[in-house]
Amino acid sequence: MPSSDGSISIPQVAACVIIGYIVLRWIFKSPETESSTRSASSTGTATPASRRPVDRRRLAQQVEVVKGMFPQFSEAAIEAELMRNGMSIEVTTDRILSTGFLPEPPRPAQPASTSASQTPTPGGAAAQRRRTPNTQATTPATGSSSSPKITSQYPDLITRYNLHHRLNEDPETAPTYTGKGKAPASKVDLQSAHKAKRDAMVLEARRTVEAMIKEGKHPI
Amino acid sequence: MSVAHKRLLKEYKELVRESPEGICAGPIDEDNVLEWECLIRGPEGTPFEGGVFPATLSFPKDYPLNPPKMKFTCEMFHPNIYKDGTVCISILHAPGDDPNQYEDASERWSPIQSVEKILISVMSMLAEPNDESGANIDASKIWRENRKEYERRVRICTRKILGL
Repeated sequence: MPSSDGSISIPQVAACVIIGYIVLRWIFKSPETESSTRSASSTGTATPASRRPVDRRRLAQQVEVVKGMFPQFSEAAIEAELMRNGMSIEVTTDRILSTGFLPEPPRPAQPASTSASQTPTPGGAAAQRRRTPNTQATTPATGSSSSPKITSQYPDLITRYNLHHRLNEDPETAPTYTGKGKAPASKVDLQSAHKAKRDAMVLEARRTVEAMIKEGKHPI
Repeated sequence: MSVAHKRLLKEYKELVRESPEGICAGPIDEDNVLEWECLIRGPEGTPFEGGVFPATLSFPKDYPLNPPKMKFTCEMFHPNIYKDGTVCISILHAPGDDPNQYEDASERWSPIQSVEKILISVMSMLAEPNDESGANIDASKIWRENRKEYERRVRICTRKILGL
């Protein structure tokens, strides 16, 4: 449509609006999402990045839609399914309806450490960030990477909680958990109260079953 | 802090304060409140008696809307525990989770349940297996047909985890 005598034509207005929108978007987007929207808009060609370009906002909307229909599944599972099938709500709902469930996405190899770095904990958490060797030993084999065969590969509880040196102590004099009824003041107190009870339970069980075996009450 | 974190921290504090008999539970790592370890004492009058059995609880980010997953981290021989340790019990099933609908909605997960209730339910499940939902077919069969052998197999597990 040709313009006459200097008035602003519709294409010009449209161009201004589009350019303004792009500039504003560029200004207000964080670098990470900007790059993902840019790569997503570039007709979906593969990028050198290892992850497929995904429009996070669209994905979040789709997760919300599916979650609205099937609130029993976790967002993570829905998100994983959407990523797998190329963001199709239809395929996702079909799968849920035909199989009745959605598998949870595989966890990262070390769930404890990764989420520790993701979730900021308040108040001097860095000081507590040290990890004792026995907590690492108890980390469950939730991922597929670290889990050995199902057979008796589980270390026994004495080894797991490093209680060998306490096996022969007298149950009467042993330090037992006496904090019942008290509210632990700090996170450290909570943790030590929990560990004290845990260790006491293991040692008591060991003594009980040992006695049962001696008395012939534990035939195998 | 998210709802799940607040709720789990509250439950953790209560469990330490109340210190209920025969169960013990808390985060494996204080920085990750979504992964817990727990111990359940074997109920008396069962071949689990005397022992303690370790398990992990993995909470979803939307806890308590959805239940955690529970997995024993020791060898278990029980009709309702899969060979990989995963526990199959109605309290750990979200209301929409049961396609066969043979579980009553009231016994399934809801936000009014808690870690303590889960562990107590699992403890009574150890004492009384549920014949309707077999997770370990071998254990179900032996439990039904040869109770003596079942008890022997359970006692072996009880000893093994205590290093005996």
